Amino acid sequence: MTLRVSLGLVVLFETLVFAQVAVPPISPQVTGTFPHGGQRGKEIEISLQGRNLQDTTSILFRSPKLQATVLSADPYTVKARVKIAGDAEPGRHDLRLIAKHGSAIGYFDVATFVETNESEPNNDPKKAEELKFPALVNGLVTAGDYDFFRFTAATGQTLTFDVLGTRNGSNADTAISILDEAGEELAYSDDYYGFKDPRIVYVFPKAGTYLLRLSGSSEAGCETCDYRLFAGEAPFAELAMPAGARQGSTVEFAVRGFNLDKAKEVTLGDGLARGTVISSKADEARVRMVIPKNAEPGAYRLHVDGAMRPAPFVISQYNEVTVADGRARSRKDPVPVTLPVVANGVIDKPKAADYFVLRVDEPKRVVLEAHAMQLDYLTDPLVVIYDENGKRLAYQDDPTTNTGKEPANMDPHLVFQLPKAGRYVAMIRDAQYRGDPSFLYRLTMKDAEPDFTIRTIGTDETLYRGRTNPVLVRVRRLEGWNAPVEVWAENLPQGVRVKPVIAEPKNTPYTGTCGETHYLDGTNIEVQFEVDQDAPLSLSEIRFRGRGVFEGRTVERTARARYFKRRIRHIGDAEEEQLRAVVADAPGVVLDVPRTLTMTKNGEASLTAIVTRLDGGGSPLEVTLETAAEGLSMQPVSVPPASTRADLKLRASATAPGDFLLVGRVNGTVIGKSHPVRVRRQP
Amino acid sequence: MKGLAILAPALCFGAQLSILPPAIQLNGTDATQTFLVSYTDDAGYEHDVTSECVTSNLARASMKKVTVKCRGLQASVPVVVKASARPPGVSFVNDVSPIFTMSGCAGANCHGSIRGQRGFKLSLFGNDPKLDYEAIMGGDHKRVNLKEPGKSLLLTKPTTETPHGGGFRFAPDSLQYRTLFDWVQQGGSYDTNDGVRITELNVYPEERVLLGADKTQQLVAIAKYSDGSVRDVTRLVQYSSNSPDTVQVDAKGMIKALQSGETSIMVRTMGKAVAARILVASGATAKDYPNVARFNYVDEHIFTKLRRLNIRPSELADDGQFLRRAYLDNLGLLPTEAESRSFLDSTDSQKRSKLVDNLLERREFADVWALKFTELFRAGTREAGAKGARIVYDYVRQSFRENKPYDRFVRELLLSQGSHSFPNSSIAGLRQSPTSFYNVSFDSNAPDHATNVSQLFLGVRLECAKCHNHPWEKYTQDDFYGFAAFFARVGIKEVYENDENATQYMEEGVVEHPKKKQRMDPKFLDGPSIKDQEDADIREALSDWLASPKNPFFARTIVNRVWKHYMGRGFVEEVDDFRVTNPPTHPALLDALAEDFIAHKFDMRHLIRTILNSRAYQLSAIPNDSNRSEVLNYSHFRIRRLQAETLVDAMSEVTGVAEKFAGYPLGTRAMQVYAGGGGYMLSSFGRLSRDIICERDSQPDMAQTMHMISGSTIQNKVNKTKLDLASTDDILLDRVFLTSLVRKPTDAERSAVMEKIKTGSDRKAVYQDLLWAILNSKEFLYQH
Repeated sequence: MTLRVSLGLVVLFETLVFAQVAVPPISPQVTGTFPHGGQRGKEIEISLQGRNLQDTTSILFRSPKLQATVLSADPYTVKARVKIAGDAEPGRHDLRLIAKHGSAIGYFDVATFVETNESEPNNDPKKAEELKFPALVNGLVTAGDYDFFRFTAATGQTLTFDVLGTRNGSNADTAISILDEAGEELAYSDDYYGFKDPRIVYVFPKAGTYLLRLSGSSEAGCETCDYRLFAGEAPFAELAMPAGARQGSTVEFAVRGFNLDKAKEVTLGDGLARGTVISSKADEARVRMVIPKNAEPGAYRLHVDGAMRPAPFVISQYNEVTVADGRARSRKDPVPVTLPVVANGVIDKPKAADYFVLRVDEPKRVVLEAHAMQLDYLTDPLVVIYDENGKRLAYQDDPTTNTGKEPANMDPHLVFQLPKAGRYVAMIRDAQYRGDPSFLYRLTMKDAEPDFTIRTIGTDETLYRGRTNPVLVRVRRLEGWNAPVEVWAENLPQGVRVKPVIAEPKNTPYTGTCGETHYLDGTNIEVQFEVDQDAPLSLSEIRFRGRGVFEGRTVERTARARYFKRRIRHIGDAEEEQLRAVVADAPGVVLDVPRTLTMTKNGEASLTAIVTRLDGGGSPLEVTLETAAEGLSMQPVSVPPASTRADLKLRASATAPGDFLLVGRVNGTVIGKSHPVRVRRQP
Repeated sequence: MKGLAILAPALCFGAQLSILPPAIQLNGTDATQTFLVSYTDDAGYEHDVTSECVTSNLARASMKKVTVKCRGLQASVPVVVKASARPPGVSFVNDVSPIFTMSGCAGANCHGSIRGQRGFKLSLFGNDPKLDYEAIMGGDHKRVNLKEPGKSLLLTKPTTETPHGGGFRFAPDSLQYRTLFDWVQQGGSYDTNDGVRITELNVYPEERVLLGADKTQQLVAIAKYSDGSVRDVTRLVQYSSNSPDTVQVDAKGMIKALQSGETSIMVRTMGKAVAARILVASGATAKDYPNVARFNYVDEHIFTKLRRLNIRPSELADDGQFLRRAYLDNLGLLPTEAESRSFLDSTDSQKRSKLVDNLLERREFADVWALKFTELFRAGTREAGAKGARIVYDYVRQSFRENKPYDRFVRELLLSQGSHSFPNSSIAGLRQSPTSFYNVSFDSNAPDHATNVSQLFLGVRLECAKCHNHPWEKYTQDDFYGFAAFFARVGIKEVYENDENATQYMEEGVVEHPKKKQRMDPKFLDGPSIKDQEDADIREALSDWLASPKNPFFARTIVNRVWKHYMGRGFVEEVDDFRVTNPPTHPALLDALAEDFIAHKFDMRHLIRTILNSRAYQLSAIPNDSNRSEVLNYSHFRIRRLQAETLVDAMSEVTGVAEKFAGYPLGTRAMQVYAGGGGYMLSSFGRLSRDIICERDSQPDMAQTMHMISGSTIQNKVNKTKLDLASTDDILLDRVFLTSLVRKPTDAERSAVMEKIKTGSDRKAVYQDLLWAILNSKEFLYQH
């Protein structure tokens, strides 16, 4: 009896220690893709760079019009062939890489133009590559690298130069310049889009030969900093106005942008609807379109002749008004609206604001919800409600601030109790009083209908056998919802258990970079996934659901998966609605090593491996070398149980390059291996 | 034109007698007033003849004026006698407290320091008499002995009867001692009427030219009080000379000239300060003083003053010197060989002014000012980073290229908001918006903005008033936080997913007085408070006031900056430190340039053109016997080391080897390196780190010398220099000298080089050595 209790305590103790150690990322991580897209109708070979990519079994796309075949995989590189159907929807598609030990999501851009890859050396104007319009160039920009492209332009010609980098999940923060033949900079762009990508639309005052210079911003760059450069005179859609329509309606809208006089084909989403171009000129095409009655409300992409940048177009359930002609600019004479309604407008001039008057017959709770940044526009909206005497009753700028640490929400969602029957004025403007013809907004004004949404913070998880794995879920309360929400998970793999978690109606605080307190736009909860030691290894789509009761009404919602911005450089809903989870084994030890090591013949090199013990760590870890490389040796090192690093000395007696890996043993048993390290030899 | 008016009549009229102050007010029957009598000689110099004169009407209580006779001349001054509203006896505020300042007790290095001295803390220069009173009477260590006044520490310390770390301050038979003794004896009480304070302090004469060393002049100080009374405080103020080697002053206000030069005598009491400007001319008027031609009104001021000081200006710079100077100052570049030849060969009498017009239209002209302002705004530091710096740089550059009126430029800066990372060319509505202007530091806040804006655009350094009432200036903490309240709603937020920030005028925001804990209303400097409006941007009102033609600070501050850029020294130094105790050297010219600038709608090119077309700018740097040591009056061109960027770019031009700056494409000139950094050579030659607002230091040092001798920059450029060795030596030599020094080689220089070549030295190596020598010569390294 005594012995059994003691053993139980030991097991309990081991489990506690085990549970405290966070597992380092051993699931696949994709840090670069090249090329980061392809032309529809083509079959191309792509290379994905990253870590933990060994044992990649497949690459999946949500759209059946994209099919991938894995050609090879090692810890750092996966090569695959991608077949893009001729009618695949242009734009961004989610790419999911699946391995035995986890999955990772990435972006893949489908374009309609003939693509080329840049070829170095092109870092000098004299070695500039020729651009033939329309051009789509896939390139890489390393630190200090400059890519020069030469082209000719006619007098008065409008050319667009648009770089798809960070918006496509790349690490490349690029800048571009147009230079004349003498090298004089005519135009420059560093950040145009909200994700650092540059764009120049330039009207050439005279015919001639010009250069486009592309580099990392301040010469930054990396081996996986890829970009897709579009250049040419093809139609380029900036926005649609109105930027949405009601289900089942026939809508006439203007597509604004550049070179639109050549626009012929306007398509909503993946063929959901097709528009007819009624008239067109260089900066605007007028389009008529029938929105299907059964179209799901939400944001779609509007494609104009397969342009690089589709314009957002939202299908709603409400009446819509358009005030882009400036008729809502007067505070004294606001545009009357009847709730519920969606107003479509553009803050086209600095300091401009649009005003709407709404009349209510009794006190009621209303919501003003703006959409701008969520549609990828640069407008940073701010909404205000005034009473009929012009007194400001309430305002909202950002539901949650952007600190770079947590996903932000800069589009207002103002819920306000109108105190009595009467006239009220709603105002929307840019928070920084800016204005530009591209500063689009959609403002939904309606009676509040309390509700909530659930989102996972991330699109994939690795669930380790024998462990409790936390998964983050955020509950966002909308339109005045103020009650707890119970969240649970469904479609669980065999051997996995989850207890429901209550999300209290309090926004979750977090600490900013300077120690200040911020609040999320919702409540983060950790849902604990308990995985049996003998649970089958598997890959499954897990569905989260939530239920709450507010003001006597029960609401139940299903979660959507959301990108984790650091991984994908974007906040928003993923194409795949559910989170994909892999049940896998955690190794006994993770030995984190650099990808390469430079050595000289007969020389020594130091290497530090970061050690994470996941076996309980009661005994010393012996680290040895495993290699087939000639002349490479290392004295085994014993790492004490509490240590998190192993300082190693390697010796090379030959000059041939080769790979090695580190092996971790406890009491003679292998509990983990590192990734291979490539030895670069210097003579 | 005030200063010129002071100087000009003296040159235009014959001898005369005058009295200062120009009017006398006596409050109370026992009131007294010192006055000065000045005799102006035929040459226009004024002499203190007070002691020589005979005065009438002095004893009559009903007198309406005082008349003096002297040297056969007569002058009068009106006198008004008013009843005194003051209670009898010694006032702590108006009699006792000033003694602490005049005796040096309330100075920043004594009891007026932030922590006081040995447990005794007075307000700095008597700006808070109530605090002084409490320091004397409060606590366990009273400094007065009401039963035996003579044993009060207040008296035994300054007389050193009791050991005193501050030493001897005044004697037992002095006026100060008597006043303090009487105050203690009458009960050591604080004034019942605390509200009567000095509102204005004046000193006479405000300006005086003393003709030669040993000349003396009495100063008279007069205080005006909040109850309307006036008092002679000549013996109650503290005097100090800004240049004691030039002019000394004693405790009674008597000044004495020691050597030629110029200085200000500071007069301080009760938190007030004024300055008397004293110029010492070099002996008698020179009979052979040259008739100096004046090109414009700038020269009227400059040469009139030089004439008064008996300083002969240098000759006009020759064409080569002028050409080089004008290029370097305006473009940061040297003229090309062709440009030099064209200018030097031209016989056009208007070629200098035509050159000026041409340079101001060049694109590189805007680069020079873009970098200057980008640096002043400290753009690119911290959060805003290089992207933010580029936006500001591009904005300033474009502003100068289109010659945007300076008032509009500043207005746009003040009202700027939006993302710090979007280049102006990207978004039409945001074109040229210098959005990171407010994002100087990571935690920039309203007090920081107030400090920066006042220093940058008003030439007023307010930061002292952030912590305490400003010792000399009129600005109090109320003024500071009132001014800061204009920026209460200027916030920083991160907008886009690009890790960069934006400036936003927030819906709400307050500035609180740190001591009074009260919300401050926005208040203009020297002006009223206004109410912040919910739906308005209060910075609109600020910019209307700040960039107004009526703002006395605004135009003068930028004029002073521009003047310094071209002339090497501001009328006021430091250029952003305008205050009573730091008066300009040429107030009338400063005002005239400012008025002209305003009249031309804040046209920067007009201002610069006016300066460049003046003879003063075009003077030679070679001094004469008369002006060799003169440094304040622009009697010769002030030589100065080339600005770091100009030097590097000039070296690149001369050698044909471009410099590569990290983060910038090859071909970027140093003047276009908009963010901080730029490499070792730039920083060692004075490129600023942008931590604080300041002008460049153009002083040479050993690190610079070593870098020019053997540093990587010069080695790389000389070794890789592109020489057309197919050319003849005559052509090559001319080219090297013209491109670097804007002149042809002298015969001696030509011979020395040819000698080397003839003796068999490697020809390329000879030219490389020549380049090295030229680049290391003062003639190359200096603007002259």
